[in-house]
Amino acid sequence: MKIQWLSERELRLILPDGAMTADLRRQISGRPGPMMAFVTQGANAIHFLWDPRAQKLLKQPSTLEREAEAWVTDIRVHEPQNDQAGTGAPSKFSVPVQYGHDPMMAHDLERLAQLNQCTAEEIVRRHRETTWFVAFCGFQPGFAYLEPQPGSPVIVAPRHQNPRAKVPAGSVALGGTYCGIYPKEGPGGWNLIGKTTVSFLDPETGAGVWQPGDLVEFV
Amino acid sequence: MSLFEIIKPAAAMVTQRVPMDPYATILLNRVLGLSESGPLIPVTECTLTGPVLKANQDIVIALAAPEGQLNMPVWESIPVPAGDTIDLRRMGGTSRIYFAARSADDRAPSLRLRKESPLRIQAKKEIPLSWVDAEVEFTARTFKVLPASDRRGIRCQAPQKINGGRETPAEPMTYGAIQLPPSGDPVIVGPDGPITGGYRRIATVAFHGLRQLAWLMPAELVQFTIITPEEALNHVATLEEALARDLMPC
Repeated sequence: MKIQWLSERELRLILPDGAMTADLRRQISGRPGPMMAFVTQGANAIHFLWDPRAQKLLKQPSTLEREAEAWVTDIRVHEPQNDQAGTGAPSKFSVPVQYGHDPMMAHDLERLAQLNQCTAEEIVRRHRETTWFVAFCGFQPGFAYLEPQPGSPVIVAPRHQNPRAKVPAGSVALGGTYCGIYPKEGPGGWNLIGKTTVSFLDPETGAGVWQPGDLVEFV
Repeated sequence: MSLFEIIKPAAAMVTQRVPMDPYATILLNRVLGLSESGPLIPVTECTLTGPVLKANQDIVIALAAPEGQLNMPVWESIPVPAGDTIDLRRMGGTSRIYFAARSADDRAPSLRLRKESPLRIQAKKEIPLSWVDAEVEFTARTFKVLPASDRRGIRCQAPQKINGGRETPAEPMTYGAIQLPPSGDPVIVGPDGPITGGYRRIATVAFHGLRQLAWLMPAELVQFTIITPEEALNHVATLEEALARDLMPC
């Protein structure tokens, strides 16, 4: 594991390729980190954020590094994996999408068609024919990074040079190799290809219903 | 009955959220005689214009803003008799103010922050960074704050685009993280900003520097300066010492 401080209060821990499994992501999600750290996860890294007002703590960076590494190692080695973890089998979601045609909404189907040297209809076909899985959650509450299953059709979708200030809630978008649905209006640099009226937020808690490993298809 | 009614709302007001100034909640509570050992009064953050309030009973109010921007005292308890109005619409040269209020009947001391306290904000244009990607040349540049900035992100415009902006695997973001999209114009993640992002992260604003972000105005020019993590922690220690030392009876 590679460790890097990103400020006086934030530690980045980069895991080896393939180590960020869906099981590990589920185990980490919502769990407090060592020394009361707030823990977030990305594509291949885990970040630990401490309250800088806890001065005594932060004056010992090497101790925090060891604690963070041990915290992750402990979960990887000792926690039950797969369904034994009690998190249940992956769910499967079908998401209805209206592709591109809303005049009130900017979309990037033509941009993607140019980048992929195909038609907008072909982008839609590839998107629909892909089965996606939830790699991890982040960005906004209820947002899931969806990755295509191996062997799926490829769509090249680089993010915009400059992110849009407002992307409407319900937008279905592609960014890099990921697909995602914006649960709320917010800034975003991904390519908008359509919209859905289905919300994936729990109405009581406001949290997302997705779990790493869940499967998603667009219809 | 609530302590006050809002006669005219601010352009944007949020309560019960992470304030852009991380010391706003604790400091205004301390001014109103309350400490972290008990429940804290929620602090309201107003953006661009403040509200007009009318006291429904005898209350004590406290305001936070950079020095010299409001026509009312800041960082001190202000008694407001029932029926009086408080007009906070003119905010001077700051983009945000904070206020909190308690009943005058509460048994809490009315305090004020010493004039010379480091906890008082001077609206400086220099933002300290406690980490910068070594591959990015990021300081000694003057950036303009764009009007599209809000609590989700402060968008800056560079006079000369910064090279090296690119997509990365999505990684965690936090309040104060600075992303560099391929356009070359950095974005400082705000307290309501994304918790992950796929644009390259090039720097982090030091914790005490987050206080400066709260007051930035659209079109304002800012510069960044690099400090070490140890210096950043020492700044926080200074503020914590002041928090224990610099409040005195009105």
